[in-house]
Amino acid sequence: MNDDSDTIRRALQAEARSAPPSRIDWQYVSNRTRRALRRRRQFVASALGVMVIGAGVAGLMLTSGDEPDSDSVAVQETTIPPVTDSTLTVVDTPAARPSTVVGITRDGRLLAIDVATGSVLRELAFEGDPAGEVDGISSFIDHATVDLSRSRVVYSVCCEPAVGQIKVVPLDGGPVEFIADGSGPDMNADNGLMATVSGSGVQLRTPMGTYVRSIEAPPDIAPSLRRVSWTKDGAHLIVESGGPDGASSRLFVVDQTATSFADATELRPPEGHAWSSAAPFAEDRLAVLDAHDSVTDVLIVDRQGQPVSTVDLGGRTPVALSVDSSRTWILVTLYGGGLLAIDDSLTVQEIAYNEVLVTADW
Amino acid sequence: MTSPELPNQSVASTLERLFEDCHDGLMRLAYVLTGDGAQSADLVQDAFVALGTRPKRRWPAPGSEYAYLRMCVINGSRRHWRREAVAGRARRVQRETAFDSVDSVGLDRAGQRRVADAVRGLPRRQRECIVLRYHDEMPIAEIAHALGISEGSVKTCLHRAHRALAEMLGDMR
Repeated sequence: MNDDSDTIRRALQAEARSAPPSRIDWQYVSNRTRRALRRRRQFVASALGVMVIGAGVAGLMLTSGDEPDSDSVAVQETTIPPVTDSTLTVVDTPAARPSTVVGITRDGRLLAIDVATGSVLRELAFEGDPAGEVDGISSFIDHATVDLSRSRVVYSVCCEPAVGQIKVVPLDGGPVEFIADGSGPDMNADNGLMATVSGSGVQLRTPMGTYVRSIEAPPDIAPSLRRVSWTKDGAHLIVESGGPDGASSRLFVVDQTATSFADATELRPPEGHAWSSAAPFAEDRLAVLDAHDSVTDVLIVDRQGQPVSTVDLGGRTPVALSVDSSRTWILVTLYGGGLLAIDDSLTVQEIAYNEVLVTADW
Repeated sequence: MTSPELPNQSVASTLERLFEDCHDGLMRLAYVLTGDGAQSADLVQDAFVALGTRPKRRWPAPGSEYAYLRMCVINGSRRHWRREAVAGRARRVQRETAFDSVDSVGLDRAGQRRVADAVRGLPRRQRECIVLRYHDEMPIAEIAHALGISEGSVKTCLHRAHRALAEMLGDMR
């Protein structure tokens, strides 16, 4: 093709002119940008420990007009009484404590950590640092979970594109694979479905990321969704949304067969309390971070939001909760560094690792 | 509930102005790279969101915002191709596509589409070099800067791309 340069030029420019009319408008881009900024601020707030030491902030937010407008949300509400002592019924045979934790560091690395020794086994992935200091990269890993097979780590990358990217990396190390758009992934108990947060609600996908169906959230909630977790029986999803401060989370219990949040139940904490980092465990329990009166506790509630018990962490402050894929072992990431394990009889166990993590999972 | 604002008002207005000025051009670039209108819209949206959420101190220098957005679209198109590969739907040159001969005025629609599909069938770096060279009319040095490779690599990629296209489209001479 002697004149191939001209041919290519004319063909590409003609092809460009034949592009279908743009479906995008400024308002849509602007709204997505705001949502992405909100997610970034939530993560940075968590990374800085604002959520933990911010019980006062949470209270402030709840009394300064930031409380969600219940009229605008098509969900049921459950208001609960103050915390009372009661006994958690253990219904499961305890599963073995996982031997490996995956943790996200403040500079954006995804690490595999040996539970017994606290040593870092390997760096699984790095997608950029949350502060955007790495030249040319301003994305970062904001959530990670280990699947039931304990062979794969599924993690999400915020915020380019704004909806996030979900990737998979072998727990033993290996190549990273992009599998879907979305964020905040969690695998259900039989490893058959993955729930993710999308721009319009929750999406259910196969473990390899193939879209299955959606659960649409109301427009005033959808942009703030940041995390979703399966209950042990796989019948419900605990969906968490949050404000830019990282403290004013809202928790919704959604039937996994639903197509929308219309019949969702919102778990409402008592006045002056803020719940976040929900981790469903045992048959019908939920561990949450309960920020109140300048302290943050690990609180156990039932699926209706009724308090069951508080967990004594010996004065240490939690920043994030997660639960293993058997829904037996709660993992507590501590402010200032360190991890704790809580089994479903609420016995607290030390884990050797003492470095600072933003969040962790096992 | 309080909505976070864009980094500040000047950034928001700059982003809106850039959107007005650039989104059509970026759509065309994305379409040439992917051949998929819906994907192109997503790529362009993602590019503006990426710029809008970038920390203010890391915004591109005034005047170079378009280059940043263009790179976002190119990077996004790589994700598009990875997804296509994962789904086993990688676009291939439609060698069997019927087309009319090229006349003295220019390519007909089928020929244009055939060339564009052939370009999309090139390896990633060759595809990007060809598109930036002949769609965006960028000089070699600017392509090298944009893709983070040497000018020699750009020339090599262009040479190989020309040779591959000549093989694929030989019967269009």
